[in-house]
Amino acid sequence: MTAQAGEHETVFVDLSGLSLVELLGDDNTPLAVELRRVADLVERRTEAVAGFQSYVDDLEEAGESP
Amino acid sequence: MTAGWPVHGLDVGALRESGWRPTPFRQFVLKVASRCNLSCDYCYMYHLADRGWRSSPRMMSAVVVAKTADRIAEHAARHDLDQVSVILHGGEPLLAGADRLTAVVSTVRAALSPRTRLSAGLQTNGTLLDGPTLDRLVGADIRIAVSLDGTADDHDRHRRDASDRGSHAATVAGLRLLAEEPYRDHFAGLLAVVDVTNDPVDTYESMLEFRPPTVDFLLPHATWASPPDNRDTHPPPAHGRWLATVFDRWYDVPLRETRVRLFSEIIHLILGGNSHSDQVGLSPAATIVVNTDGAVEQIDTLRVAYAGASSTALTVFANDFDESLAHPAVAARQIGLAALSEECLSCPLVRVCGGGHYAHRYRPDTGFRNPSVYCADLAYLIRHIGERVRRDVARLRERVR
Repeated sequence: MTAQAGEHETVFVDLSGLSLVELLGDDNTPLAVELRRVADLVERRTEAVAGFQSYVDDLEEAGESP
Repeated sequence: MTAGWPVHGLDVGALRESGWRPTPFRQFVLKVASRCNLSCDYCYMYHLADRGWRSSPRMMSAVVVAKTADRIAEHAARHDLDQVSVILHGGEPLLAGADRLTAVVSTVRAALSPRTRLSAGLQTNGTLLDGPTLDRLVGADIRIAVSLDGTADDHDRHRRDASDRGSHAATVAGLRLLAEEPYRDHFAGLLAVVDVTNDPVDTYESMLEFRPPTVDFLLPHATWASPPDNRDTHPPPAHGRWLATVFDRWYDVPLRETRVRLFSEIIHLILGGNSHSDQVGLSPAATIVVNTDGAVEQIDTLRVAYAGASSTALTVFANDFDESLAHPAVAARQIGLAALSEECLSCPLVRVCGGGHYAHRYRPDTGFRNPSVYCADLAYLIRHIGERVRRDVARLRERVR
């Protein structure tokens, strides 16, 4: 079930390219609720998803890929 | 026991010179009563390292309330805060009585400028909740969270009164009132301490009976000097597995039954967001505690580490809250990665885990710059949640192709 730690392990899940609101429709599973929360935050242009992006930036700066 | 890092070794002046700025406090935990009508065996106030409660006044006086309200208003104005929250805490805060509790909230509300909104909450064991008390609390717009450890047997094993009687029946009686109209809008949620000897699904489902808007699970407070009970029979990651089992029960439903704060925060972090929990993530802690005597304390759960660990030596009478922001131990909870051990910094999970609960990192020789005593448990749970979310997001991607 769980991933093993590895040199390039990342626990982050990339949502880029997903149109969440459209995709989730009326789903109200626990995951859908969390995805909608992210989508709402992005809509309001807060720092949500910046965590993932800054992580990607750090890796790229270090010459690695996520 | 010694303080260690950050009280010794963190130079807040140097941090400021490097450009770091503290995050203002937005949550004020007011210890309105220092005593409790229960004697839970895992309680950090009464059964662990610190005995400071013995010398504290039983109740927060009107003088302390007024000065605390002024300090909160001063802080909110100085930092232009549009919202602050006050959590009425104890001991058992309902021992202070509804009149005193509503007076605390109205005093803080009156001190704040119209620009700052106050959100008020109460964390209680629920045993003293009755209709008249709820009428007063709800009338003052105070949201109420109740500690409930699951089934009657689970709960009564730990949460007992001074005569060694279980408290489940009394807690549930109060909870049944709170969970129904006309009080339900002010039901903030349930809080449970994990006991790995309980059945995780039974524990969770017994909480669902009250349709709580939020459930939170806390790991029992422990440090490297005082590791979790049952480690010999339930070695790590027993707590992680227990929580992962609850996670699966919570996650595998077509319609979300409640928000489980710990799981919700981990998913949010995995998806790239920030945390609002002190159990995971790297967000700056913006909570400060005021004791019944007006002493300003860091998070009171630090009492689990050693006697005096939560002390700042500051008081609302002599010091404003900005002085607390300059305290090394407060700053340590606001500097994210810079507060973590080398072991944490080399871990691929660090931005989600954040080193875990600050109190759980304590080790007498090195202070708080260590991985959590629950490191293996947190890693197990985060990987478990990450794997499940990754698979489901991959399925979503398939749907759009």
